[in-house]
Amino acid sequence: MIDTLETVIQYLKSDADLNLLTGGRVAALHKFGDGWPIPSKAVRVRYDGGTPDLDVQAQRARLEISCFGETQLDASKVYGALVNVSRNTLRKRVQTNQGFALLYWLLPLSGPSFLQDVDAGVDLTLVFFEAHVSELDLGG
Amino acid sequence: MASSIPFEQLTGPLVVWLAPVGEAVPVVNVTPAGNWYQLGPTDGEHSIQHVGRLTYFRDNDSRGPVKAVRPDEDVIIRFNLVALTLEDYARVLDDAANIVSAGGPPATKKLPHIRGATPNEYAVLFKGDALSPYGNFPGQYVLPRAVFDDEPQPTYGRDQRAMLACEVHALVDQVVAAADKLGFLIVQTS
Repeated sequence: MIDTLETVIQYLKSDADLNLLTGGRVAALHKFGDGWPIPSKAVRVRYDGGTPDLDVQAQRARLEISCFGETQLDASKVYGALVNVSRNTLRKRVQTNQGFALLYWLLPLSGPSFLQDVDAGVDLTLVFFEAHVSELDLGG
Repeated sequence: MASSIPFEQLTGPLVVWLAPVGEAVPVVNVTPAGNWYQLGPTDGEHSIQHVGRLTYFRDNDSRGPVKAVRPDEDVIIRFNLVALTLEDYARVLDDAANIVSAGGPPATKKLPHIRGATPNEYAVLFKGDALSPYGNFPGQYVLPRAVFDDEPQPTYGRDQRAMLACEVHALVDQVVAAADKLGFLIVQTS
């Protein structure tokens, strides 16, 4: 089965603007102090529940996305780039380790919240998204 | 395992284009040009309704229906337009030609409310970048001849966005091929 979280992370990594802004630092766990400079711009994507699709082989996942930055302003820039990505996400083909995924949509469910990561002390903008991803490999 | 099934599930919004009746329909994967006019952003869902409930006939030999016919059929597109430029607003009410511009100062544009007894007719495209169930391809609904129906009621308030509820009603076009006279859906397959 295609992994929804990997699909979203790979898709975000493939966006040129977000990749340039974050230096490719998009992951399921932050790596501040373990390769990522403190502070720096980055994106962390985590599962946060959601409503399952009972009848179709697709995953509809709620995601908690943290947009990190050197300052709140920088975190907002990363958040802005994320919103831009979501505006253009419509049935995108994404390569993953399990095959080619079809990302139907990646859309915000909430507005942004300013927070700070307790462990790393890095400012972040927290926002919730929903992703809808086919479980089947598109092949090719 | 390769699968085309994911593509069969269609998601995503559509974009509305208008042109004078008779305007050439663009190829499905080409952005309309010439006299095609793109209506501005819409809010919420887009829908296309295929109207045409059946009438059933029965005889004295059975309680169940023995024959069904479709006495009427319609095609209706609905969406909410949030672009309220007078050019868009006028097309929904009747015709952009109704706008009156004046140099001022101040420069103005005026849109008369009167809609007239006979609505202006349009050719309509309802295009989607991912409307094909056969792959990552576009598609489009085509209405060769249609009118704006409904009674739009833009509502203004502190915490709401005014919009025009649009209902595009297809008319039979006797000029096009018989099978296409109420319009058609065409999608790219490769």
